[in-house]
Amino acid sequence: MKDIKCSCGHVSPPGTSICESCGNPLDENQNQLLNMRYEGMARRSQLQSKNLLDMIWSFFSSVRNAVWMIVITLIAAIIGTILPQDEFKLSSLPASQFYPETYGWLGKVYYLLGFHNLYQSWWFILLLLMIGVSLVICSIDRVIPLYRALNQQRIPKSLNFYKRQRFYTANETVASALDMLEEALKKKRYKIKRTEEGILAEKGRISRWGPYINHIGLIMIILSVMLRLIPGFYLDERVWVWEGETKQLPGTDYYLKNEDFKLEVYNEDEFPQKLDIEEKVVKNYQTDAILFEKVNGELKEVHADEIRVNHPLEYQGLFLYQASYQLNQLYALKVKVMDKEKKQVIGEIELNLYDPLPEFDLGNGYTVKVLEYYPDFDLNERKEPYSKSRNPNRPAFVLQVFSPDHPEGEKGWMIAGFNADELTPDNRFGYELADFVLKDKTGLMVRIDRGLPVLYFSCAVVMIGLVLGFYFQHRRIWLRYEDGMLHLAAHTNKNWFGLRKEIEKIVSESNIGLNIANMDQGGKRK
Amino acid sequence: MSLISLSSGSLFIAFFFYVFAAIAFFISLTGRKWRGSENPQAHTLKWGKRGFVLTLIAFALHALFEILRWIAGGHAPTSNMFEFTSFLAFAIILAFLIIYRIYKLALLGIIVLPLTIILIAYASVFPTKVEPLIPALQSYWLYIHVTVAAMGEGAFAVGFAAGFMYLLHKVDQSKPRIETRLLEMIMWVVHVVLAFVVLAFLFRGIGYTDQYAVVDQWGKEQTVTYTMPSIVSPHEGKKLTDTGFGPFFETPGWMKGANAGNKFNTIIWSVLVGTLLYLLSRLIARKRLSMVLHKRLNDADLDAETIDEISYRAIAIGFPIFTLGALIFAMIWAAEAWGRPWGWDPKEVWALITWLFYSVYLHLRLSIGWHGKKSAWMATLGFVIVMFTLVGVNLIISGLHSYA
Repeated sequence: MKDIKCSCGHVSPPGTSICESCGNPLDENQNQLLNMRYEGMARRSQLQSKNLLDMIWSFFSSVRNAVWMIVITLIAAIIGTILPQDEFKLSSLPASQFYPETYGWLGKVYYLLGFHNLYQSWWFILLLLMIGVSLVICSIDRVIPLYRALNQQRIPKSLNFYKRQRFYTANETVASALDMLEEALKKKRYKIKRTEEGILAEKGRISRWGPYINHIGLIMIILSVMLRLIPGFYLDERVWVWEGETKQLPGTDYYLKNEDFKLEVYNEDEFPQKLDIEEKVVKNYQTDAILFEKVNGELKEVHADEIRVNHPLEYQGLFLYQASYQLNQLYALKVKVMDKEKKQVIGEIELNLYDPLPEFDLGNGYTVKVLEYYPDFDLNERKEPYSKSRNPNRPAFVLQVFSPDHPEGEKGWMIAGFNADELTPDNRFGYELADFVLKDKTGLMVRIDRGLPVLYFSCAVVMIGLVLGFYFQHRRIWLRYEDGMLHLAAHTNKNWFGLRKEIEKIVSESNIGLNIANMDQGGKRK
Repeated sequence: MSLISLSSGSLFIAFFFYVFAAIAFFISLTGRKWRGSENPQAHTLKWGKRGFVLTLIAFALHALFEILRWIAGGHAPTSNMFEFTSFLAFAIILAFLIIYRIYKLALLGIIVLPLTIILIAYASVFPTKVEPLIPALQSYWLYIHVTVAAMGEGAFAVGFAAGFMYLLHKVDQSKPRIETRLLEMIMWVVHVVLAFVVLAFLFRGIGYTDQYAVVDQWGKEQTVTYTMPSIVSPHEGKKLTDTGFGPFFETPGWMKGANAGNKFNTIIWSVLVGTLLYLLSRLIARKRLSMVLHKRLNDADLDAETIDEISYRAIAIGFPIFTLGALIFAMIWAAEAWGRPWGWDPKEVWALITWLFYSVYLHLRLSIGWHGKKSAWMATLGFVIVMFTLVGVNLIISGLHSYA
């Protein structure tokens, strides 16, 4: 591609469509409206592709390609909602089983193509990143020439420039019309550039930067999500805490005590209207929590708060959310320790099913040790005890009782729902289930997301860009007085309707009687 | 009289004023000929103004409904399907009034008003009682997020109305083609929605119900109540009542939820009766329905360029509002209530899809130069996506937002 020489003698770089000096259109479509996009400036992407970098640059700087990327992302996003995603499937079955069994062949295909984890898939993330790259390159490709063009604006000399604007009109009038129009334009808060024979009136240029500010905000949103990759910036854990329990929060040095868990339901008289629903409506669930920090091996209380839905506990970037709860769950067994010989109860122990105490002192020289614990007791092929899971579905303990006359202790089994005496009929000590201990537990989400403030800031940048771009308009009016004729041309990046109204007002206020009824040449575009 | 019945009353009266306004807008278009003595342009202006005044009255009553219901219920009336849909109708009229102030095109009312009327009628099918808020909804973000998102959607609706009007005006109706078929499809959908509303009120009026015993996905036995006579039974459901007729076949198992059978049955009824209504309208008109409107609009000396610009302008006004309400406020609230700003919940995804679609619309229009019919079709499709996000996602896809 060669440099372009205008009839005025000025030489512009290849890709230029409006002479940088006199404003003369340099394209060949002399009968069409002038394309004012990017002020007719040359862009890097218009260079003929030479090397790989140029080719990548032109690919990503094309709005057409960007639109295709958005459309593909959009379609992919739709596909992801056809069937529930893996995390929402509400089933304990593995995905490989769940999808074919629930949705037949469709589910099978969906699973095999990986659509059940679509939004986390490498290709979906790649698409989003490509849109991000496109945002950067599209913006740089356009904003630099646009900035230069708007900064070095002159009043075009070439009448062709005027004639090929969408709003154009020429009227025979006196030279002083320029001064009168200048006054009227100033009243409408236009910035004026004036020469002997012409005027450039401009306002709302900031609107032109709207799209670029918006795009910068969008790039920042993508970057704010990527901040999660920095160690310590992001944590997403869940924890169950029993009432009364103090538990370490996974992934942190903090401990949480669940003082109390409350569940409130609405009373009938709290309803504004009588409702015919049978079930109770939950009004509130909350955890009264105390947060501790482990300093030099000791727990120090640092914060206390009520955790409710919509009201997380917040402490120095750590967030605890009320996510779920379980009421009246089996927490511990109360067991009587019996002396079978004397037929008397020695004492009662409370066996916590989640974290049993290792030893109980029953007084009078009696102690009980917990030697082994199988929460979900079963026997393997070799008839050895083991636990099928960590859930206390069938808790079994191996206990050892020490008494003054039994200093070496006696081992025995305590299995829920099973009379262990049959296993060891000769044992002196036996156990009897006295009671169950039921407790509430609260399910909390433990979150750290240090990228969040950056995300919100980025959203604010997006909004500023959108507001500038869509609620403001860049309006320009060019006037040129030549050979007794006043040429008026105008351009706006949006809202031509508003610009027409404004020109009508300016012309009527200046009292020079210009005929502008037919200035809109937009209709001739076809 | 309680505040709640007062508020319901004002919506009821507002509904009728919307109907009167729609009639006035239609007369402004259709009456041009039957008053031969009058100047048709003056006639359109006069009746357009009357329609506008009636719309204003209806809008004021609608606003009264929202305010009274807020006071009576103790929370913003945006918490269930009835409340949200009637608020969306409110937002559409608000956007219409703003656009009217700029462009003074009353004729736009012939699309906007019927759309509003259908939405309010559709809203009224759902339970209209004030419900107490579950903990997840107890946040001031409920008001901010939902109302701002609805206002963005209201502007999109006006963008659609103008785009649809442009298409009715510009699509060549001399012979059937893809474009005329698509327009007819929209007309058919309108009839289906109308049929749904009419049937829902009809069967509720006579108190019709069928009951079925079904086993839900957790293996629990449930009783499902049908509000329309059963054409199709729930999946593996057993009819308990001896009412009506049918069922003739069974809901396929892949439709999830205990209530899937009732929803499917309702859809079948609406489609059948809606199609009958549509055929009846065609029979009366003796031509394509879009052609009837096409001819009327062509007689009205419309400025197509202005309609094209209104469609774009409404969307351009709505886009930042939608971004703020449906995405940014949604993220802030989600971060506070659920502990993450974004979680790919179906409703979130569909809000993103809507946003992506309108950003494609804007890029095509501003950078590639799609104007006129292409742009109008995009505005139409965009509104289809908005409505799917409102209705379809709640009906078909369940997720965290399925409170309605």
